[in-house]
Amino acid sequence: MNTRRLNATTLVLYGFVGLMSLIVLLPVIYMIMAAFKTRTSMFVSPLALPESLSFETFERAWGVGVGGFMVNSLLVTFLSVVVIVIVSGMAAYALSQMRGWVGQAIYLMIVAGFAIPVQAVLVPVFQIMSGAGLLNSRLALVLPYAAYGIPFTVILFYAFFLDFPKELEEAARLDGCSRFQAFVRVILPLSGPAIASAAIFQSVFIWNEFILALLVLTRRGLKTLPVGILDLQGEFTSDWPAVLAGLTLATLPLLILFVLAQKYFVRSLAGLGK
Amino acid sequence: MSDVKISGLRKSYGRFEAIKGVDLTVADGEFVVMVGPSGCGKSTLLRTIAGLEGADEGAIAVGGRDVTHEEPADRGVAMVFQNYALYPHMNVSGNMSFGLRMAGMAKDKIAAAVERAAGILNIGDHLDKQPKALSGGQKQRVAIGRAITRQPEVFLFDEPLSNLDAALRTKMRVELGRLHADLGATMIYVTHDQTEAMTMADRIVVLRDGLVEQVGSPRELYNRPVGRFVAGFLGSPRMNVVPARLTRREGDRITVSIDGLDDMTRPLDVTKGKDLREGDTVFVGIRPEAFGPPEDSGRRFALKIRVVENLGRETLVYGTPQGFVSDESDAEDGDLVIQFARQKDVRPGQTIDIGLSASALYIFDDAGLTRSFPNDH
Amino acid sequence: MPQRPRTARSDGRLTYAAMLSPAIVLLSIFVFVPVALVLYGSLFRFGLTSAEWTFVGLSNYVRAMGDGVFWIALRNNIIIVVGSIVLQVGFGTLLAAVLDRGITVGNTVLRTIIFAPMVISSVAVGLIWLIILDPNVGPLVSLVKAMGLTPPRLGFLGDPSISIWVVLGIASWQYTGFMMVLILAGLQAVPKELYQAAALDGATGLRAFWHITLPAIRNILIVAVLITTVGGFKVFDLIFVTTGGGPANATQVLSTWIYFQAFNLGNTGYADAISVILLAIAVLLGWAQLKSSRRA
Ligand SMILES: Nc1ncnc2c1ncn2[C@@H]1O[C@H](COP(=O)(O)OP(=O)(O)OP(=O)(O)O)[C@@H](O)[C@H]1O
Ligand SMILES: [Mg+2]
Repeated sequence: MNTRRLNATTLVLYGFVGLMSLIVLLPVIYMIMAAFKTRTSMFVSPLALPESLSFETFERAWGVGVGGFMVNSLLVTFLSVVVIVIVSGMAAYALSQMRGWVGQAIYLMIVAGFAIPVQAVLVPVFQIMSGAGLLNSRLALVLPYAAYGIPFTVILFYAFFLDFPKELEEAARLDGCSRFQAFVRVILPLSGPAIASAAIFQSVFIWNEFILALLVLTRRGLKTLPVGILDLQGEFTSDWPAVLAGLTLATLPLLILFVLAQKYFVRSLAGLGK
Repeated sequence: MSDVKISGLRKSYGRFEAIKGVDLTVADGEFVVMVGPSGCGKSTLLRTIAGLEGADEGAIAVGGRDVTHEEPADRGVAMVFQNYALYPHMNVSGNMSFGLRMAGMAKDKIAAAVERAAGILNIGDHLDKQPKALSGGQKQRVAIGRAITRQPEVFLFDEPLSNLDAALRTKMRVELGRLHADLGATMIYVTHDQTEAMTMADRIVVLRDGLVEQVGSPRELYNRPVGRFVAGFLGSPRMNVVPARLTRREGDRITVSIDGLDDMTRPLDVTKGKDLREGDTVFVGIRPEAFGPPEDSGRRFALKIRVVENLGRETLVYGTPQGFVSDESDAEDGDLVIQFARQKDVRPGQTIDIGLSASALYIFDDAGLTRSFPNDH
Repeated sequence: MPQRPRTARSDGRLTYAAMLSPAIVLLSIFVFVPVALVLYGSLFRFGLTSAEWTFVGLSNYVRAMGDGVFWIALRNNIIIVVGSIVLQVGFGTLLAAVLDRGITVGNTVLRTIIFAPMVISSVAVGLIWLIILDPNVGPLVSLVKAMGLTPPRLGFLGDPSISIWVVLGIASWQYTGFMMVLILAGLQAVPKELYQAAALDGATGLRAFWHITLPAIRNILIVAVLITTVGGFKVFDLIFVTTGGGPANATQVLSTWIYFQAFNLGNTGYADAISVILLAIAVLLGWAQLKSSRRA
């Protein structure tokens, strides 16, 4: 009797989680499925399966430049993450070594930067960018992305570096390293997990970042995926299958990457709770 | 020549002064052990010698060369840490050769130096292992090996054995002694362990609150401590200290009285400390092994036994003396600790007679200075 | 007290300053200077590209107080915040609890699926749902009709009385999995002995959840609520893509209203004033987060 009640509970729990998974999955499945439909069948029978497996819609979407958007996103994301990791790593290490109120004050200042959303400083950021003549350049994305990635990454690295015994750096210095060499040759090689965590975390955010990219990029050739796929809508007025094909092309690679490396994604993003 | 000369050294952390003016000279090839209570500045002093902390004031010279403002690696010192501080991402030979590689030494010379150090320390079989694959004792050997490969003039050790278990500690202690004899290098060694201090040191430095309290050979420090602090610090179990009253003063002889005991007359060191007068409070120090049989000691008192520790070769008895209480000892509540150099068949609750000879007393004034030593010291 | 000059070399100040400077420069240019500029600009009337700045004192703030859309935007932000806490943190907690102890087979697969929308860009999420909810071609309308109900005449996103709730639903579709993973990490840190001890005391199932689980993850729940709150005030992409703030400004939020005022209407000073208000909210929340994590 006990086991039967247990089974009923388990069934309810599976039902609950299963239903949630279904709610998450259906729109994604719909996106992929409807991308194969024709415009007419979208109108006439929205719920029906596609009649044939033609990749013609994908070709049309690809023609808008999804491939180019992807390359742009890759480039911007890669550069930003590299800058974030290097700049934050150095700053966090210096802070973890500095004693006294100066280090504390700088740390607090950087943490304070964490609280400031880009949405609240859109106008001046735009003014600075256009004043510097950086509109429509990759630098106009990489630099602010790096800046907004720094606070969180510094916090993450700082906590990580504090866990190192300080004798490690001291041993290196006795072995002839300068402070900077000790950082590069001893501390950095041991920071793989923190670097990976920070890189994944920032990659997800920068890959998907929209508002800054919307502001500073108007040239098609530079657009990143989020602003680029918005163009799909304008390009294919009411050609929904093509839009969905474009969305599929834009989202599937990251989704697949996520599924393959979900353990690391989850670990990195769950780190936000700390 | 690789002596170490420290003069007028001061070091503060913010407003807190950790080293308050230390002068110390360590001779070439000498093995000096630094001891002192936790937080007295031993590590700070060692790290300042190494150059890991900058000195606020004073100077440090190694082999006659002023290194006060040199980088750590340029001082000719190597340091071994309590937690080993091996580089986790390098294997054993990588750890040992890192300093030489940083110095740009030729590959074959590095290999030779690593091999030599590995030979000395018996870790030749582990050169390819990662640090996490080593036992604690092996890790400490690698850490020492890392210091040896650089052929420093001075070795600095900060509690290098305290993470090891007792048996291994004894073994490594002997090995370090042998190493010192082989290399003939100058060594400065910080420890909490009395046995290490007493057995390894040519000289012991007792630090207290950022100042040198006393420097001397182990026997000197044990037999002729300058004050209550050093007397209480060296020796285990520690010295029993009992408050007493100075009842008579005749030139350089004083008579002290402890409640329940006959008066005892002792010589007084009049060259230091304040002038003692009749009626002053003094403190009488008795080492646990200095009590004697009641028959031939002169003074005697009854002791109610509370705890007996039978250590095989010797017996420690903790008990309450009749008539007086102690001010300081390894026992609680004003009890005394008495050490018998043999097995003794006594039980808690029992009362036994203990003898005490006046010639075994240390007498401290209320400032803590030793004013009278036992006869045979 | 006579002091010898310390060498900068052994002190390391120069090295550390050099290591810190890139971060400080970047943060200054893109975070701190802009904050100063919004504070300053909010006191002026000026266009995005015009060189003519007119000092207007606090009148941009006064204008906000009298601007109906500003209040709608603020109300919508609050709806999203509160709704997200209920939906995302609420369901996230339930899902996490079930995945942690309720079921044992297929956890990783289910977790991966539910978490997946987190890695899709909000723009793509918005576009997918825009099509799903489309009144003409959207499958949902057909589905509702097939069930014999009448869908809203103007579509789910076109009906001003429900559109903000629909946006809330889409946001929750994207982020509930994130909350679940966050809370799951907290749950997995709860020692299992605690549940065994509770079971001996007679607390199992729901009672164990209430008396053991929830108190044990209190801190992580606070963090989850704060993240959701901050996210709710920052929401932009989803609304920009799905409704553009419409219909009839029914789904404006502070960030979209700032954007439209500054970049479509050229009321840059006014946009700065709203930015300052958003900034104040964000800083207040950031401070709360800092305090709560200190205690944690
Ligand atoms: N980085 C630091 N900042 C501030 N105070 C410090 C720092 N390092 C040490 N101190 C203080 O300086 C004093 C001496 O510390 P030190 O580490 O030298 O003690 P120690 O004698 O080695 O003690 P132990 O036997 O416990 O190792 C202590 O009071 C300690 O709190
Ligand atoms: Mg120490």
